[in-house]
Amino acid sequence: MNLQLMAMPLPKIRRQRKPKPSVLRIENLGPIRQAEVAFGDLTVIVGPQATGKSIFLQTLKLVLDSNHIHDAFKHHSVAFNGNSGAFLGGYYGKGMAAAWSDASSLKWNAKPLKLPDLAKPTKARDRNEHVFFIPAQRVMSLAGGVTQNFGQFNYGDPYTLRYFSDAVHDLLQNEFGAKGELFPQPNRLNDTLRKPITDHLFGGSKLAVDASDFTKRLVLKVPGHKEGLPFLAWSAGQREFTPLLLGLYWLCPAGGTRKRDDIEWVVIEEPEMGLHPQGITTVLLLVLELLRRGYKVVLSTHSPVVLDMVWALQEFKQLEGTEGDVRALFDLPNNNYAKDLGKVVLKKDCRVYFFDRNQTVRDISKLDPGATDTAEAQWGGLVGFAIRTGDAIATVVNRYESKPRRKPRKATVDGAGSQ
Amino acid sequence: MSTAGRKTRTAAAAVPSKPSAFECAAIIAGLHASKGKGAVKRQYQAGIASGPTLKFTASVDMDESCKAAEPDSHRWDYGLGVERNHENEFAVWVEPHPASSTGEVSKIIAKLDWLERKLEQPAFKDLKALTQKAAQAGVPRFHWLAITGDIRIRPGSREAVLLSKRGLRLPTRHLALS
Repeated sequence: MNLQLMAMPLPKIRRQRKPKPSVLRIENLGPIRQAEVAFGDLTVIVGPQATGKSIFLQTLKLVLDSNHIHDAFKHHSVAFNGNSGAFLGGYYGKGMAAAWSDASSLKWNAKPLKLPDLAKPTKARDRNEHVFFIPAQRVMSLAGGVTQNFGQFNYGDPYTLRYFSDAVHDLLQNEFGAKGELFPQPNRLNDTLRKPITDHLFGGSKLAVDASDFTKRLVLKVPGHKEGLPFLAWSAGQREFTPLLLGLYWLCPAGGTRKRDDIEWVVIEEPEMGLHPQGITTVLLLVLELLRRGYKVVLSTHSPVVLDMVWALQEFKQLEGTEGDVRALFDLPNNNYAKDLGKVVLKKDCRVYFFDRNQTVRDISKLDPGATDTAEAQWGGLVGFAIRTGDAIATVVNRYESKPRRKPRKATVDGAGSQ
Repeated sequence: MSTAGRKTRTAAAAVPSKPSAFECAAIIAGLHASKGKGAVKRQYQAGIASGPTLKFTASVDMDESCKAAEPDSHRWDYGLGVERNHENEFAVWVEPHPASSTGEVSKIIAKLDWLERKLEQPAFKDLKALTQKAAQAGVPRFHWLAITGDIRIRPGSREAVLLSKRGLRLPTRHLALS
């Protein structure tokens, strides 16, 4: 053995440290009392209506994209002339400027920020968009099946809706301008993902663009029908899912591009809207695809199905589950794509936060059904009614079975004793 | 301490307390009853508590009592006598059992089947009557205690429904009767 080599100091083996999670902390902003959310690769926020979930997510975008937002308003000739209140009304929605008070505070990775400061444009170099936001009101981006651009909305309509709508409009008018068919598209999304969309969301119909009356209008081509089914005749779930699909097309570009370069985060509000659990499972599969492509995904939800998935993934990770378990969960075939998806997803960090009225936001990521914290045991209230139902049935069963009953008379052979 | 005081206490301890209805019913059933939660293994005792108006009168270890005669049966573990405001005694049944997978639900239901068959036997008539009194008092009769380990029975799941249809609630890490 070379003694000189032996004498050389060995390079220190450094353990790969997981990067610190990004943390957004908000106090006293609208209905939010105190929220400190450390984001995972997948972060899910749950909570009753009007607890500040949407404000929290919109603030995340504002913190990360303020320059891009200012540029977008300017591009569409919306000027606030340095009036931060007007900007906040234009960004969050009318009246939101009052939500920020002297008691409010905002921190991004421990760095203090102020909403009124973010409401003013700066000359910072980074003017890119980092957060792609798919808002809860996404169905309004396809009024009557026709895409809406930024300028078709009014001051006071949330920016996230206006901008998302504009992105969908741009996609349909330009990228898909010459194509008649939007779904299925052979170069968009893997076939493993297209199949459940066909099966559970479009039911064999095809999503197409009808440009016959000089307006590009989305229609569903139903087998056996010559004319496409107009937007308002679709099921509510199809109407809700289509803008989501178009948003996903935007995030998953064609031509082997893994992801949009500057976009790091994808926020999807209530991905379950209007969908049957089978449809929700399909949407979740698309969320996993976003994770596979390297996006950080933040969801808000009222669906226990979303938390079912998070719970399963957490347990798989804890109990050395395999990609096969992920495939079994989603009923995916045994192909290379699905195997890769399963493997990648098991490396992702998932977190769940509960927004409650007038309470501090709580980390309920463990989703332990036996937790002493009711919020965690009841998954932020999403399975609270299921628990109450089970308990109520158990009580009635106990009561019924404890009632003293007369033994039925034994019937005689000729049936005389049964009267 | 005065000698007189010591004498009084010694005399009081010597007077055997009147057996509770649960103890009497257990003796008729051929079971050995212990005072309070005495029959419950120490590791589980802290996980079983009662509210201020309730008191555990006595307990039986069904599993231990029936092990020799029925070694292969899915035996239920404990029965406890509970008294509300020093009267109205009733019986509840507690099974400490892991809930680390949905597969445990069928085992618990098999144990419940076994217990219910026992309560139908003539010797268990009084224990059955005390058990019925629990439900009449608004207290669940059967309890699944999963003190340690993960609980993986998802509320609203098929397994949770199976439990509720048998009068069982979801497993808990701590049982607080009230």
